Amino acid sequence: MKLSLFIILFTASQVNASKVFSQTITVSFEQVELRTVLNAIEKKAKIRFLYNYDLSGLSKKMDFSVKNAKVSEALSKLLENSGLRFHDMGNNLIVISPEKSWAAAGNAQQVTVTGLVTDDKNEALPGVSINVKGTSIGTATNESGHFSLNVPSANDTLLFSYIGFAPQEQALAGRTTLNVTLVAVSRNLNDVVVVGYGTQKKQNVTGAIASVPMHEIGDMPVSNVATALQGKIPGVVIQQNSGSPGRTPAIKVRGFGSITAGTSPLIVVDGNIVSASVFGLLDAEEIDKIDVLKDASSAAIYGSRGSNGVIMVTTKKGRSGKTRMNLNVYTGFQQVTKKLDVLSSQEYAEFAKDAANNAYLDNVAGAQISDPNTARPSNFLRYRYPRGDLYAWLNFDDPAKVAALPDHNYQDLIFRTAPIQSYQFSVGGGSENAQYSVSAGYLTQDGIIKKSAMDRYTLRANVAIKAAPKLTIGININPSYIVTQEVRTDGHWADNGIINAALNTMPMAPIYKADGSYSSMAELAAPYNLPGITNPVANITEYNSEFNQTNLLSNAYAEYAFLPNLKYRVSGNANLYQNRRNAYTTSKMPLNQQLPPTAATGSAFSEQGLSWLVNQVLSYNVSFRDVHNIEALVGTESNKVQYQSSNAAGNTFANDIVQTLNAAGQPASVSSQKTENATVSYFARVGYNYKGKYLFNVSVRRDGSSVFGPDNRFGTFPAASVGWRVTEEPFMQKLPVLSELKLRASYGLSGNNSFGNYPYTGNVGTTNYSFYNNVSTGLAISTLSNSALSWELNQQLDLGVDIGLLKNRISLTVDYYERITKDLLLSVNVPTLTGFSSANKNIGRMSNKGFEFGVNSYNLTGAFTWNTSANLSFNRNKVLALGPTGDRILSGSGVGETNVTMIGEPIGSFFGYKQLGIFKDAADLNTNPHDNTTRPGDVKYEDVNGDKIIDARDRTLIGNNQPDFIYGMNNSFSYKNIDLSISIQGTQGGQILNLSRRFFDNLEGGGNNLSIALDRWRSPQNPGNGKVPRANARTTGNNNAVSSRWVEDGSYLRIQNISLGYKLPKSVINRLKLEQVRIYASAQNLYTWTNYTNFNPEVSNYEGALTGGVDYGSYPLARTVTFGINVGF
Amino acid sequence: CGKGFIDLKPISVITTDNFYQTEEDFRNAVSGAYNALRTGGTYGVDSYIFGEIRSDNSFPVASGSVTDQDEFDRFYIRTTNPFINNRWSNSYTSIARCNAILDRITPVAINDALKNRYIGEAKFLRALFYFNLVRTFGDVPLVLKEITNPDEGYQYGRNPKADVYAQIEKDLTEAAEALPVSYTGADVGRATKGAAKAILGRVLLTQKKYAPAAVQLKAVMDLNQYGLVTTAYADFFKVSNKNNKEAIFDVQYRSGGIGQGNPWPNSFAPQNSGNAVIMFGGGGNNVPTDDLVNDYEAGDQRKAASIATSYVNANGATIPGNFVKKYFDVPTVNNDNGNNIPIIRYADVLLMYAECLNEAGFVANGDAFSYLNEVRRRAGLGNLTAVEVPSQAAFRLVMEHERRVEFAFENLRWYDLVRTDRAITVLNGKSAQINLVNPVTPQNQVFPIPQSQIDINKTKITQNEGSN
Repeated sequence: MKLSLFIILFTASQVNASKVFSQTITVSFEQVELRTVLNAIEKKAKIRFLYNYDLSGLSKKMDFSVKNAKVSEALSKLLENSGLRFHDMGNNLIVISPEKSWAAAGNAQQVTVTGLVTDDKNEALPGVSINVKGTSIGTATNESGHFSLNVPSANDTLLFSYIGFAPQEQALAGRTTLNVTLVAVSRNLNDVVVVGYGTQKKQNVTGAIASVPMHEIGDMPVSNVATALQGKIPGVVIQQNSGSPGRTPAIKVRGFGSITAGTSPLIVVDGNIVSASVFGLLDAEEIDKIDVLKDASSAAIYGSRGSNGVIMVTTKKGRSGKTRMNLNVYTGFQQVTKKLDVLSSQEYAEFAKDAANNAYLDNVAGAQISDPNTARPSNFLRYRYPRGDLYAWLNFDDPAKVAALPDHNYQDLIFRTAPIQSYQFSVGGGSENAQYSVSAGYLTQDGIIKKSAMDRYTLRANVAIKAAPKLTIGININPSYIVTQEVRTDGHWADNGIINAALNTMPMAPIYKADGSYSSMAELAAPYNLPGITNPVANITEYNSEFNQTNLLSNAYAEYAFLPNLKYRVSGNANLYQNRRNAYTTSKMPLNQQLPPTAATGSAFSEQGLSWLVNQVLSYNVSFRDVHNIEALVGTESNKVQYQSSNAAGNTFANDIVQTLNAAGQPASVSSQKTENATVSYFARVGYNYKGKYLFNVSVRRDGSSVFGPDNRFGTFPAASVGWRVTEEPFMQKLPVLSELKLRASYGLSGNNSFGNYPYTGNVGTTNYSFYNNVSTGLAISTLSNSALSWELNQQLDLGVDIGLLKNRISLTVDYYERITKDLLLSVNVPTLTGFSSANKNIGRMSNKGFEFGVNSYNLTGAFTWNTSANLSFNRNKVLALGPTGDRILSGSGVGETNVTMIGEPIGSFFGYKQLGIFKDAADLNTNPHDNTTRPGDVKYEDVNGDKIIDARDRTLIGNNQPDFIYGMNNSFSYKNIDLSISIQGTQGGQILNLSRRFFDNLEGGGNNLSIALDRWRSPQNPGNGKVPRANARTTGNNNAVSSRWVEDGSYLRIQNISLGYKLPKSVINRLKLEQVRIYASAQNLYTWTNYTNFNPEVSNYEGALTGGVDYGSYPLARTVTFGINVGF
Repeated sequence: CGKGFIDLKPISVITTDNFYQTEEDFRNAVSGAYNALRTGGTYGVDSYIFGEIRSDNSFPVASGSVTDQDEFDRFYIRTTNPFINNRWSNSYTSIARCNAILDRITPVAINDALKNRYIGEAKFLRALFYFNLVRTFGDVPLVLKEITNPDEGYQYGRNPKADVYAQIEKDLTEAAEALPVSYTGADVGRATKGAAKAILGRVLLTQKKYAPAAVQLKAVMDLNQYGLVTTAYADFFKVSNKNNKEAIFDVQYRSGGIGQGNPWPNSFAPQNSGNAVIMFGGGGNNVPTDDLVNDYEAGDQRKAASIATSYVNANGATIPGNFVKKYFDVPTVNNDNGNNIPIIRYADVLLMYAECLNEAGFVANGDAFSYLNEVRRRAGLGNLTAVEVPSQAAFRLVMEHERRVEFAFENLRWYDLVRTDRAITVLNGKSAQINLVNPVTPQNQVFPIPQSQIDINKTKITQNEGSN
């Protein structure tokens, strides 16, 4: 197959044919290629040339000069003796072709073919190039999409091609009128992808680079763009671990690349290195492209920071031409996706009574269930349960009183239907010498937990100016301001965590006292020693925390083209953020075991971060007769990050009127700190391809970082990749079904230094003491120094294949990778007799291996179109070496040790006892190993080490959060003016340690439990479901140790988004004098299929490689339904 | 940009590169070592779990599934128990602070007297931490120098108990030489000669070295620095009366919301008591057993000073239940009280000395009786004589009782029962009251080595026999 490549150049204004040739121009060149002269004429004369890129005459070097010559004369002179001639096609279009083809054509019986070319939305396509197959005869469609072409024979075949659309062949077979519909191809091979410090033609890419299908995410009503990327890119895991408005999800590329250093990818926005929180500042409308560099060869140009992959975000730039304005508005509402099934007041009463009685019977000889509270010992008060002794209405023995118990559905009291609205306005345009794009946005989102809310104001201006013929300067500036009303949703109820309090408090616990002030379970707790669980409603209303974030991302650059192919670019970036939080807990807040009035506490926190980066890049590309194509660049970069924060807390407030610290009697604590780090880098890259067929790429970066000790600051990160476009080979031409086949291989090294700012120093911490009330400064070594600390290295091999079928109507990308992280930056456990529990070292090795599949298909291309994109990724993570002795690392999260990292297993696996069942009866107990406190009805654990006792040594691997595979699929349909898009997404095979169940599945009766408590063991005759142990106020048998009882399947399949749009017909639009109007409805997170019992199967409260997948009560996800309108004018 | 650009040093943190160089650095380092007395696992927050909950004096907070303290109370302790791990790990962290001072101070130009005192204080503190370790675990690794390379940590195995005791005695003896008899002003509360000798007396007594113990204890008396607080037993514990003449060595605290406060008064007040017992409520820890409540003789003022058996809540209801009231303050912030925690006080010196005399030979109404009665009289009780206490064995039992009520909630009970070989008899005798899961065995007199420390160095660190 020979790819005929046409370059079609459009000019800004229309000039009629007679005018074209009557224009006069003046040009003067010495020893330039003919094509350069054509380019110059094209620009000056505002005409467009259409010619075959391969024509040999175009490379002819010549001197050429005309002065005030007519265009036709100039062209005649130019093409003299070139073997080329020109032909005016009308419409300012001039076709340049070899003389002989016209001669041949002239001899034949000519046929005129006419027709219309439209896109899949039935809109006319102007400028589509049409070529007679096997010749250079061609034309292009006019402004209304029509064309007319004289062809040598009515049996010829026409080739239609247009940038952004799949090329199409049509055999005339005698027809003289021909209407053609072209299919848009988002992943057209002529597309460019953004790579480090430049762009690359998609067809020349040799690394594993994936582009986000932006059209699939445009309608998603998300306050953080990263959320919309979920399931869109093979190999990229996006985990929404909290539904808090604006929250940035966890992002990982190709598994966990590190144990204790950072695991999130580098984020680069328009060349500016930023943190992942930038996704909370961007609207999808502002983004032109997002490309993900996954393999080492594409990421190594970022050296020490590329080891977890790179996400390149390119914002929309202005284009010269007519000013375009666009307004996108949507509004909608959000609701919690599910509620948990907990016990009612009546069920709880029966359950709590059972728990108290069991504890009493277990521990007191001769005890009878009928014993009144007064007969039960007071030295362990949970032997007693409410029997009307505190309040007459609270009597678990009296069926009438039980039936009359109030039953607060605390989940209903904390959740709400919450509105969301977004306004995004943009304007772009410019002249030949200056282009601009300005956008402004406002997003207001209330959270589904009452009071939580976010308001976001954003502004962006991208301006590029051609200051001189060879000099372009540009500025991108993006200020934003976010106000968040925070609520304390996560964590222990004792710390006023809303979620666990709502699920765990007794359903009859009073919300208010008689005087209207807040009460809590503490009011009922004292005589029975129940936990004084905090009031979930008050936890919302009596905690005021406003978080203000001000961000300024800015970037300025200048590019000087010494020659068209030799450019120097200097770019400076400065990112400044200033955040403030004022938080106040009022004196009306019930605290753990405390009823109000309580001591109010307030705090004021502020932080400022400044990151600046300057880089200089010199790039050169050259092509020798289109056979040897070389692109090269060298550059330097310096980056400094400065951070400072201060925090003050006060706790002696006279009243709640003034909630800032000036009203506090004295500050309880005041602290401030400052840190910084700096990186200096040198890099180079060379790309070479032979006829676009054999592709080679080599890069190297040398980084120096202040993060490491003076002797180990510099590291070098080389990478190389090769590609072979097999379909370019002559022997492949006979396989027309295969339009593209590229084999790729890459190998490279990248680094990781995100391990704090000074991990190598031995720090001395403050440990004050007071002698006789006199405070004396105390200092003690708090960390061990390690001057040898250096880079964590990531070696990655990637093998990939890109396949295009049926004119690229179906394209498929498959990648296999092996990623070895070595010299892991590890906070190694050391024997504590050293005085330290851990030390920072470069030690250990880990691997991630996986397959990634991505497919795009244009299933139907007629009036009804149907496109599908889908991806599937497998990653297998394994720890290969650890620490000096290879000992496993145990890590704690919410309570005790919950995770283990050991050689041969995935990082951060769950660690605990394995539940076999429940001891049915005494006989079962006597014949099986058990804990020395176990009784019938308690949990039966596996005796892993076979020593006939159950103890700490029987703890083992009980699951892992890492899924077997993740997948996503989008189907887009359109018919006439209607479009529909459906995205699904999911993960399979990962598990979650639902640690929140230690609160609401502990069978203690101290707080409410999940309704699975109804399936508990009650007696040998009534053994329940064999999984839930007996109720017992004083747990025996180590029932509530971390065990497989709380490990759940975290697999899920979600309808991520459905959006339906309608484009107003042209007639209506024209009458309104608008460019386009689209109205749409979108449903985000519509439904999730999962067996997970808690709110969100993506949750991880302790985000980090060692403790992934532990749920300890987190802000649930919302289902969002919105209606929007998008107007272009 | 070059090397200078990336040569950045911490701005807000002191590092080892510029510390341990001046007199002031060492003054701060020594204060930092004292601070270690307060950490969990040593003599601060959780020390009652070892000294009291393990004994028949108290039981833990009512908690269903968190069995960490219950395991101590009812003798089914697990090797993963976090308090066990804290005692091991935090004791060694504390010891490392002392070792760093001792290793680094010699070449530094400091006034000799001061240098000597700092060395003495570091050795005194190191001995205190090792004393806890050896009483808790038996044989323990003896680390006597600063470890700067963590790999060295793998070289240490468990040293015999006797070696550890020998080192403790050596450190205390040298500390007693180096330390002053008393301090003034802002130095009051530091380790003194008397403190070193008194602790040495306790260390020797623990090893049943009665005669050498007696020598040390008598020497404390002969310093003429100390005496009982005679106004009332409760006065010793008053925040306004800290560092009184009976106080020999305390863990020092200070209230005021600056992170220097003692959590115990809040920790020991009943759960869900609101502000009825103490401002900011209670944690319900360290609940006195009825057995202890009933052990006080009629008229013993120490009972009311140490324990309450109920309180009246905000609604006026009387809520039954025992709780510790020995330590009480009016905090302005939760867990921020001004009370010191006594490690050794003069009443203990008197009673230990009496015990040594009795072990040397029973003398009816001899000196042992007078020291015992001195302590009893302060509690509002009458003298005991050879009529009530006719023999050496009877005197021992009287001492056992007297120490229990005198030092209740001062973390001595469990260690007293162990060192007198009475733990098994006494606790198994009350197994029903204290709900033992397993009967107390000789192996229970030490605790399991933390599982994490065995896991990390299996070849050198072995488990105590009988511990899982």
